[in-house]
Amino acid sequence: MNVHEQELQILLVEDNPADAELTLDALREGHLVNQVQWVKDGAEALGVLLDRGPDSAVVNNRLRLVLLDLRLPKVDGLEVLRALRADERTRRLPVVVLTSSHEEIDIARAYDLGVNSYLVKPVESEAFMKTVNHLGLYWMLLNKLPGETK
Amino acid sequence: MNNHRDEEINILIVDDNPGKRSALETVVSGLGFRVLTAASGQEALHLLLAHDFAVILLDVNMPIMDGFETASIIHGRPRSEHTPIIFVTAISTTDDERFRGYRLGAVDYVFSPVMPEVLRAKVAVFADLYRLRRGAVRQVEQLATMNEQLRKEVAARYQAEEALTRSNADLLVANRELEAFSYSVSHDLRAPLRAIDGFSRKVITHYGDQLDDEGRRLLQVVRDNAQRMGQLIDDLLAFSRMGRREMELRPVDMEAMVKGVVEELRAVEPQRVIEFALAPLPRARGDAAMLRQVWLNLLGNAVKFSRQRPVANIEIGGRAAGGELLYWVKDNGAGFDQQYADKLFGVFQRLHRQDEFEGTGVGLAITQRILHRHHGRIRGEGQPDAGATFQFTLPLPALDDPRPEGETS
Repeated sequence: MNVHEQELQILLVEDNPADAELTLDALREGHLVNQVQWVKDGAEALGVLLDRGPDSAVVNNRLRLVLLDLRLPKVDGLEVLRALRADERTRRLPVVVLTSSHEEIDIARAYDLGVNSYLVKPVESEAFMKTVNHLGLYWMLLNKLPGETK
Repeated sequence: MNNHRDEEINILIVDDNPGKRSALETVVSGLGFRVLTAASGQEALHLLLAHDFAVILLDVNMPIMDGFETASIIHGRPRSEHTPIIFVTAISTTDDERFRGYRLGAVDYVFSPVMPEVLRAKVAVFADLYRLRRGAVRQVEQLATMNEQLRKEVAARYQAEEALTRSNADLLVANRELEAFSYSVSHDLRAPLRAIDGFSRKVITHYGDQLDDEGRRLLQVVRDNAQRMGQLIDDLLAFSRMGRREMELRPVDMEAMVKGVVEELRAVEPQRVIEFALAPLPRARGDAAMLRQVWLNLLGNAVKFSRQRPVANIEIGGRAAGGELLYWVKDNGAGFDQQYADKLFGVFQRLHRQDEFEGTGVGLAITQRILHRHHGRIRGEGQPDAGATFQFTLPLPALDDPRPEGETS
């Protein structure tokens, strides 16, 4: 799903199409779906996030949130996170890990690399919808980013 | 120095003249040594085959084999090469002869007729030397034996250590494989279930009006089972984690811990009437988070299986007994048939139907695993419809264990 660069506010990095569809369903319920771009692996994610062209969402300060799966083809989620934190433009970009893993080691590594939040996708679909809904509302409406205080 | 029987010291007198021989024997016989005599060099050599001597009194002038010849043969044998020889000779012996004797290893001369005190004193000195030397030799032998034993022990220990290192390495590999396995279970096994549940829900939401009740019920069965499978996977992973997790051993205030767990359980089902009878509990030593899990599982079971009672009675107690700590949880719930007691602690083993009491059958397996890791044991007793009692043990904490933090009494 590609959105116009002008509207891109959320980047969903997810290789599993079923999970992606369910996530987009939940964001749609929260009326956030038009602002989402879905990429299917870590390399593609870095392509979008580290793009420094004139239309880049990052350059234009529109991107507000990255939803990041951990187990990804090519470049895994933690590598994406590391690259984002190493780059001046994306150092402070909110990144929420949205994954299947309860493993302590993943949680600890993600926080060591500077993740903003870590959520485990519930199997039960009502709980899953609620989780994605809440996180969309929180990060898109409530959360303040640097440079937004007038 | 005392003379024990087995520490006997031998003296040999060699003289062809019976009169002189018995005279010498008389002189040295009062010293407490065993005195042997020989009438010729040959006889002396014969005795040397069977005995060791502290000193030999050797007549120089003997027929066939004289004293010098005898001495040279004696000192030619390794076993007697250091045996001291005192030559007994006439006062007229020339210096030349005496030097010959010394070259042959004579340690001394006495001149006949002998002065008894002089001879006794000399023999006594050699006997002392012999005794010291024999003691030293024995010590050396003992040391050699001990050394050999030590060497064997070290070798055995080294082998054991190598075996241990090997099995440790095997364990590490197995552990890593297990970790990789549960890591991929954690990541990959839940995703399809999420899709099954999520897409079934989408069908019900978007196409529910095109289905009849039975169609909707069937989809709900699919969803229920996907969710149950998710729960099973989560519990299995929790069980696996409990076995691998590093433990932090600290003093634990079990009573405070149980009070906290009881409050937590009450809050889950506030509408129920549950009487907890909590007796004072001895402190334990262990991993607090893991021991809390033990109480949560046992008390949670007691609460769950007493659900059908108008008033649930749950007793919690503990004491030090038989060199260990013993704790128990007793309820008046559904109980179980004692003949299935050995199945209680198996993974996914359940003694109740899913439609009676929910659960995956992992809680008690986790509980047992935690207790085993603490070198404790657990057992359960029950009777159908007459409640269950679970008892577990933990090792007594060391006496110098500090009290849990934040306590003053």
